[in-house]
Amino acid sequence: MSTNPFDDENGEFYVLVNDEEQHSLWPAFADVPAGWTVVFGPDERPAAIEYVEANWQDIRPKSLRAALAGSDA
Amino acid sequence: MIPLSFAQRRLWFIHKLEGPSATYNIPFVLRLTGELDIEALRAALHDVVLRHESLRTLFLENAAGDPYQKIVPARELTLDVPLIDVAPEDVAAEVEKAAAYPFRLAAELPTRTCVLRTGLEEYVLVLVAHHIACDGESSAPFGRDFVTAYSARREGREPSWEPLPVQYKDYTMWQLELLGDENDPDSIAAKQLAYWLKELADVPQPLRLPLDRPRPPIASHQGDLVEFRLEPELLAEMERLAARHGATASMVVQAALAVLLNRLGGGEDVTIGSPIAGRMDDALTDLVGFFVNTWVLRTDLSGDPAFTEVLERVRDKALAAYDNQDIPFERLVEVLNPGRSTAYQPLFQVLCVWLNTSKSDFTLPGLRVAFEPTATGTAKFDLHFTLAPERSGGVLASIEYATDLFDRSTVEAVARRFTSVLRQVTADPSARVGSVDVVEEWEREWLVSEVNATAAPAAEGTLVSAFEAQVKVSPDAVAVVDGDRSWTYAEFGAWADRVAAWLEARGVGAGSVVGVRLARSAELVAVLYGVVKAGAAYVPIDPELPADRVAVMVTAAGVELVIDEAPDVSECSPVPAGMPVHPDAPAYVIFTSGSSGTPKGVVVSHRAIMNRLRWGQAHFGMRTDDRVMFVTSPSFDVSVPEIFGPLQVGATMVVAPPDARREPSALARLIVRERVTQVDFVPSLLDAFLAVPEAAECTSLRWIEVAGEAFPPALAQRAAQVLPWCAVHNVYGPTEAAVEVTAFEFHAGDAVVPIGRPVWNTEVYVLDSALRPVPPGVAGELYLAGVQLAHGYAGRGGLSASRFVPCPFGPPGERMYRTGDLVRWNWQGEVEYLGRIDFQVKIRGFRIEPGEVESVLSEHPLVAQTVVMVREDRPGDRRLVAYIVPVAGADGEALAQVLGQLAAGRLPEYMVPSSIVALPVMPRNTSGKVDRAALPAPDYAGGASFRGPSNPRERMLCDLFGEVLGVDQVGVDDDFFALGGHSLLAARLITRIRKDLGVDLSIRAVFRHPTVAALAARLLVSAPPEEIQDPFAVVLPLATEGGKPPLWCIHPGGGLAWTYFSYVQHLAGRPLYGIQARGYDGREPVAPSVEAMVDHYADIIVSRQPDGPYHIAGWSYGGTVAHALAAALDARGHRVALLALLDCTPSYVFQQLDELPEADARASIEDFLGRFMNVKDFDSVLDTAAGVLSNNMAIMKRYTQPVFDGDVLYFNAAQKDDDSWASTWEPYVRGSIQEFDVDCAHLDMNMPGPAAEICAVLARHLDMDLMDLITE
Repeated sequence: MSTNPFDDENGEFYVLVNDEEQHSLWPAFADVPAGWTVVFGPDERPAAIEYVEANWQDIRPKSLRAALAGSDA
Repeated sequence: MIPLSFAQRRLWFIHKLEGPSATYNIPFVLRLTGELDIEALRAALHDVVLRHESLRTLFLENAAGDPYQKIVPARELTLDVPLIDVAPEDVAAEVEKAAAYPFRLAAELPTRTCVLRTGLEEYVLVLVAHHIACDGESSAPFGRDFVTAYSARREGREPSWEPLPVQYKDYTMWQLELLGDENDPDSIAAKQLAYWLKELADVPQPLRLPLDRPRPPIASHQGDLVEFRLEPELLAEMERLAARHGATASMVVQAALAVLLNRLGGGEDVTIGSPIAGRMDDALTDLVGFFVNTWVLRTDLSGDPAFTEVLERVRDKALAAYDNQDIPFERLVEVLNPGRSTAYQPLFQVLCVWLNTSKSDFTLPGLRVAFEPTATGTAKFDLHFTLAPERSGGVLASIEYATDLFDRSTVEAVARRFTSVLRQVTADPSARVGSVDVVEEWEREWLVSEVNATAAPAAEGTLVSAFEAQVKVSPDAVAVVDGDRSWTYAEFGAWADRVAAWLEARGVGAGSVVGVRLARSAELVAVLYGVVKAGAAYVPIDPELPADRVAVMVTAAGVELVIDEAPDVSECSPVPAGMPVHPDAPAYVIFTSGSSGTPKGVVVSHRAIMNRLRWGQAHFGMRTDDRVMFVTSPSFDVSVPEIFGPLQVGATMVVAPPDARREPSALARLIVRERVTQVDFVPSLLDAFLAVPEAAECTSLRWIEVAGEAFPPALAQRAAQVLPWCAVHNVYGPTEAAVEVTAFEFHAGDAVVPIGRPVWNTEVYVLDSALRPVPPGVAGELYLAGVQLAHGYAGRGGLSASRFVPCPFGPPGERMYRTGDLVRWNWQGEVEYLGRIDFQVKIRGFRIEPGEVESVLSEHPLVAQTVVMVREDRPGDRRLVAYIVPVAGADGEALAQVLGQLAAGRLPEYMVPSSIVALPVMPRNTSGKVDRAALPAPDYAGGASFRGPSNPRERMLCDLFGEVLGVDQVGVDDDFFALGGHSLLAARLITRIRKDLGVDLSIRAVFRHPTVAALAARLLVSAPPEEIQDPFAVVLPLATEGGKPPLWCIHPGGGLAWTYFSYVQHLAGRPLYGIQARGYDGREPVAPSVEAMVDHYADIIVSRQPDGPYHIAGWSYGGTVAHALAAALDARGHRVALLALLDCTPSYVFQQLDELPEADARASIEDFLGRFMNVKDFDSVLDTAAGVLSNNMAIMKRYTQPVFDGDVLYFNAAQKDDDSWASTWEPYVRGSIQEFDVDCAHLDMNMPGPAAEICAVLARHLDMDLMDLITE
């Protein structure tokens, strides 16, 4: 097997987000799957990772964060 | 003397290597209807064979071991063309038999013919020729000449044809002349060689194909044929595409095949072999002979090129090959000297043949002629594609395949996929290779949906609510047992509630994360329950972890509080928690070690783990009376089902003490004492557990779950044998998908242990690097989706985003986790684990799966665990290194040596580890998995330094190696082929060995044992060392050194005990004596009865060794006698401490054998000994041996086997069609029969590998006996 497309240091990536605000890399060569929105890219891998690190600091799904915030309130 | 052409030389060599076989037979079968003149046919065949010298050539060998052609003179030529009456339904079998004829090239013509008469005017003509005498293109001149001759002979004339201007022998000489001297840089040979050396440098070998079975160390060359057709429209499209790119249809086929092989997992650097006619002059066109040459197309598929680009690359390569076609492929192989293997063909394993010529015109007067396709039942290559355009405009295609490797259904699928690739690339030639799809529509449906039909009702609730519900159902049932203490559900629930209250008092609540740094105990369990009840997630922290690592975890997971001693909660009131816990809230954060060394905290929700627990409770049928052991480290997520599973169904948790896993026998005693019904094991712990005698007493066990590492079939088999009442489940999953996501139940006898099928609400996908499903059998990466996926890695957004990725197959917005595990689907819809993707390695261009090497090593009964990896301790020096842990009590150093030989005998040589390191224990990380970084570098010094000969035999072999190879100094560890040896030189070497040592070795022996040390050992097996004074004495001193009690080895039927010489080196420090039959001195009479023989041997043994314990071994007939001897010694009041029976039966089986007259006995002994023997006066030895063997068989028929009151070690030579004969001994043995399978044939139990295996077991038992003596 050749390199996994998500580990390809020379590849171009999008950053996608779903309804739960879960972030993911996505190789630019493949069609964007249903239920995901492009929020960044295409760009080189380190840039895509940097975007995720900056924008997705709490990895819990959005609905859970909302529920916990509600219970705190 | 006429030398051989290069092409002939290779086939001659293979003939020498493998012995006569049908692998290179070319059958030619015609169905003839009408009036056949059989005499005219016989005369015509005679004419043709006379005309073409190649058809009447013998292949002989001169004194130096070099082959030459001998053309049988016309006057000596006789042909036998039998006419055989055959029932029509038997024709196929007769043809198959004729086509499978093993030609002996030195002794008979390389062609045979027979005529089958199936009815009035119905005939089948079967011509079979060895490839060394003809090739595909030869059928045209042969057919033409045969038709001419038959027509003439039928009219009573001689054929009138122009004499052939040249013959094959002329071509042989030309070839040498034309190519010139390779050493002359201006010669054609030198130039073409230079081209190919560059073109084929570092070809990765072998090509990875979707094999159904692992490649055997020696290819059997058995094959079968799958036929298919390409429709005329497709061929027309292929031709149009070819024309647009200045290529040919055959190049389109080659390019498409390269793409197919790439899509089937073959990588980006694919080699395919193709024939090239090789008739370099028109004068050769009319000759029958072996001219065809082979060229290797190496296709670079990197960078995801468009198909048109691949086609152009193939075209350019083909044109360059055409310009460099004269250098014979055989010569290339010799010069390139790729790592040789008897497992596969060098340089390419897939051959592609495009037949331009239509079948030759074959019209015989008075007869209707039809061609019959014939399979020879052989396969020279892994896959051999043949495509022949037909008059209809379509293509008749076939794939001959090696049945060693493939099932028919797999090859049929390959044929369909190939056709599909051709359709796709002709329909859209500009499409990228990566977009070519080889998965069929129905397969995609199966791979995506059907295997993943796992929908089940979603698990309700959380770890908290599920437990609390059970407390209400069974408050008085026992929930937790820890040593002498136990708690009911009500008691334990209250305790957990107090802990929760204690935590809440310290600010812990929903969304909190609590570190728990406690050893395994009921207190730990109560704390974990308290944490989740408080709405928080727990982070298990191993008490033995260093502080800096703990700090990393605390920061990464956002831990607010670390509990490192059990809190005193007696003052807290058990107030049930207020707010219900959200099902998506994290239940735990478990750290796994990352490849970078930074641990990653996997955040798992209640919803995810509840699905795993509910599935497991249903799948394994967990009941209220089950007693589940909490034995796994809490830092390893396999502990989660142990901790939370049983208390959701009313079962009991039995807490194992913290060090339970270090002491397998204590673990077994705990299982017995606490009537435990379920335990989780990692394979290495299971192995150690099964080795202790107490394991067999664990009758309370209902099932075990094995997880964490690859589960070797041999280990699973042992589990099923030791615990036949207990179900054995292999479960698989990463921490990132809530413990386990696939499962497989092992049943005794299963050859493989897949990781199985997905659990509830879980999807598994095996994808290629373009994220598309790969076909069954093809390796791909495992991706997981479904409810069990973790949220991600705590505090590691970037890492989470690159491992948990969008799933293109599920509902919108779904994620999947990529595991980094290399797996494949089998056709039953189960996933088979192949290894870690990052562990796949290449050494010297060879692709290696360490997992395959591990599974072979771990088959050895003394191996507890193995890890195989590539090390690069010196830059650029990549080596395969195996680490082994022996079972308790075994000698690691000795075992490592034995395994080296085992590996050499079982694996292709490129997979044999260059070092095997024995360790007392594997270094492990906290999750119990092997810590690869902590494995020590092996001591390479021994292997790398030069080692000179240590005995006369090695010295002689070193000299012979040097002489044949033209090398000054040869060490005993030097590899013949690495020093520049090739096939022809190997033939010379064995000729010299025969001359100097009087021992007849096969070329295969040189391949299997290519170093001086190994060959010397091989020779030792067969001929007594020079220092033995009387090799025929009744007591043969095999080894006299050492103070331990001796091992007595009883002769097999032929009466000599030389076979045991190879055992000596493995039983160092212990004298070994052979007992040999009377009568070899030519004076004493042979034994009149087995009773007398046994008495005689018992007298001799007791006179030499007056006191016990006695140790006796016997192979074959010697085993039958050894058993009788043991019974006799026992009857005389002596202690027989060890009786080893090597592949033998009691005497009654001999009664069922035919009489063995002396003449037959002589032939069979000559066959066995003649291969080896280096004694003078061989004929008279043979006569004596024949008398002994014949008598031995006769007296055994009259003998009644006694009963031996003791234990037996039985060694089964597993390579036989029969079941093991061990059970035939049951009526004759009062003690136990412990059986060991040795992977060899009956006659090979003295070969180095088997001898090493057998002796490893013997040594262990002999030494155990010694220890008993000392301690008594």
